Amino acid sequence: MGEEDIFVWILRALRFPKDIDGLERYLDFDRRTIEWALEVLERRGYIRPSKCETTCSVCPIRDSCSFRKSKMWEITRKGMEYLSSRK
Amino acid sequence: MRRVVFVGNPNTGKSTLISALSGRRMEVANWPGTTVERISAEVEAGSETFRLVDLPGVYDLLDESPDAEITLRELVENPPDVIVNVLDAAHLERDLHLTLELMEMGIPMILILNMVDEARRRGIEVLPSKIEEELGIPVVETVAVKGEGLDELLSAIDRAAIPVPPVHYGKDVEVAIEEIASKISHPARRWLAVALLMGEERDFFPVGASLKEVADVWRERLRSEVGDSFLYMEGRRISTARGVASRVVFRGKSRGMIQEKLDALLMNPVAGPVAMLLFLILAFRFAFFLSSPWVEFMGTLSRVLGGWLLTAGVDGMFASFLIEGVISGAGTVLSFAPVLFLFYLVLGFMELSGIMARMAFVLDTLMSFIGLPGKSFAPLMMAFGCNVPAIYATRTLENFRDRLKVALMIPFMSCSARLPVLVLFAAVFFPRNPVPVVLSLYLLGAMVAFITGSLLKKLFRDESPSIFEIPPYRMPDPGLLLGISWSRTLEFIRGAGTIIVAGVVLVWFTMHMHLYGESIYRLVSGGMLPLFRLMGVDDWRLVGALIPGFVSKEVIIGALAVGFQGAEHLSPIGFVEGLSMIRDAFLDAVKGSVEAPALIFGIPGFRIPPVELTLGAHLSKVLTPAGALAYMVFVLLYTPCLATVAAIKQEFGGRWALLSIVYQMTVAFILAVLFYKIAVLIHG
Repeated sequence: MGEEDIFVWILRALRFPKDIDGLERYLDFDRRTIEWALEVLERRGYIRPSKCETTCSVCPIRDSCSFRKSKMWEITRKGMEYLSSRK
Repeated sequence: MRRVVFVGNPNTGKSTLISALSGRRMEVANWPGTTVERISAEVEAGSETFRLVDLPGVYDLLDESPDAEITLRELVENPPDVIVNVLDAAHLERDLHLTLELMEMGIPMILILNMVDEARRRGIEVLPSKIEEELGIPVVETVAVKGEGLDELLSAIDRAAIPVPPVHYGKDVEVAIEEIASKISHPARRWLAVALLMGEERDFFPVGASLKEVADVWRERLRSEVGDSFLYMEGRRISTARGVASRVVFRGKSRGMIQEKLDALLMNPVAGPVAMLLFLILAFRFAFFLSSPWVEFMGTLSRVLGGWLLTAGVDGMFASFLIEGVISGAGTVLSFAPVLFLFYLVLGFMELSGIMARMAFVLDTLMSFIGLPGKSFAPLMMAFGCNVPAIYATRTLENFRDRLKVALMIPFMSCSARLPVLVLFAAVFFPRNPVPVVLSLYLLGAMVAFITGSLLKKLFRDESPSIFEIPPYRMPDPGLLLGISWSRTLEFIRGAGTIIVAGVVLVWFTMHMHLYGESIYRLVSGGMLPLFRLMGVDDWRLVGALIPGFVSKEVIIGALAVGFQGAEHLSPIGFVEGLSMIRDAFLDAVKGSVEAPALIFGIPGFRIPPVELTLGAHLSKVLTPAGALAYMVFVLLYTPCLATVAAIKQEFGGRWALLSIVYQMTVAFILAVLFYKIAVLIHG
């Protein structure tokens, strides 16, 4: 396998669901590049939008979400398989 | 003449560059078969003439968006002489991703670092000489809005060279690319080979089925090494772009900018929506008040034309057909032109200045309740002025289903043409509370629109992505703004004009053709009367006025006046008299335009002209307050006008236009009957 790239970093970050702001803090990439990579990964089935599983009061993105509905992503089984094949 | 295409990410200033290079003499049209705008211009540089073409902004040529398909198709099917790749100097890492892809197309290329002033204000310094050294192609710095670097750009086109692709995909993958590319006879052979290895195909790729099979075999063979070849190749491009950017971009301290202060206000959760709402109201009121005098001017123009025809001796049925059918139809189309042009100017200003993106951001939560992005708020607000430009304004939404949802909601928002009817009926039948009645009806229209949106949300389950790109504030290029607004207005006249004229002519036929001694208009109105009796409307003239009202709501009062008070005929007008009427109307329009800015801050008031009060006396004899309320509800909710139908047909196709008519008629009828029954129950 070749060197690690943005897709691997995003998949690794999304083992715990995150929104775009969380990913931006985690990855140090240009925001639009992250958004584009998320679109690619979602289209190809490696990640999916994450449903709210906690109450808002304990949600890590409650501040931004109360302002505008935030979208969170989580890794899929296909994404996990891809990630483990890149180790 | 060399063909030079401008390619880049959205919001990098490509159109502004072309506008500045051409001295704001651009041609604005649509890409064939699409609603995506195509901006081009001819520019002379020394002894040579260039044809500059702006391709839609894309992040990646393989994106699955209509814009990306247009750009890629153009590059593959019609390779230009030179690619001018425009980059936003403040976002080099992001923009270089596309650059690296374009460098595989085998077409001579130059790089433009645009908006360098903005980048410097943010403390970002980019070294063009370092980029030239890294990528081996000419690099020019520009500030399009200030016209800086334009001569250098034109002279760099002469130095454009076919780039050496800088992305190396690894030894084995390069062998596969080499083998596939060697079988393609097209300048973009390397890019095509990479795309095939990524598993991407388009029907316009100049490759045969056997080559696709070769690529499939290679992809399978490389799977153990690279995994998903698409992710692998794109990952290599992004890593290379990041590497180049890290060597040519230097970050210093950002100087405090007005932009940041303005954003603190506009993107505040509380102040932002309020500020945006105020801005929208003021902007659309400005467009409305500025266009109104010109709408009246267009009306005078068609009256004078009719009068001249009578003077010229064209008489009888043919004169009536020409004046009330053809000229009236064309007049209806032209009367929309000033409204549309000014609304498009406002909308264009919002798009190009960066305000629209911020509005999308702050209003996203509100609109997400009906499954729509924040941007959809603008067309819905615009609809209170006029539904037609509002339908066209849905183009600012990226997703087709979002556009359709908003377009089906718009007709329920009460436009300005419905106001006189509502005001007249409210004044006659609810003289003690006319203003609350009219405002309640406006609210009812908005509620029906939002209920429609909620229903459609259940029907169209896909969600718009909550991804926002907030471009910097920019003063839009005036030439670009005027060019786009004018082109969109012309498109309406060409596209919707025929349908409107045909509709007006059809209504004329129903009014003037007779069956069994009665006009078709009278027969149809009478035939529909039993249905309208369910809502307390028991006079064929009231029903009849709704037929021309389908063409344009403005004519309902006129049709009622003709029905109850008799027809008002056109009189012959002498040539000189006509010219003087046109001159006076023109001067009035100019005067009205000058006064318009003062009106936008005024409070709307209701004024009933005396002639309409006479009509009111007639109406009060044939209608009860409950029936009047039902009639108002029906007028509020049924198909707003033929121009709106034509706009929906132009944007979404005949099937959706027809469906929208059926839906609006059904909703209008059911609610009108419901309101009548409730009113009768309450007041007896």
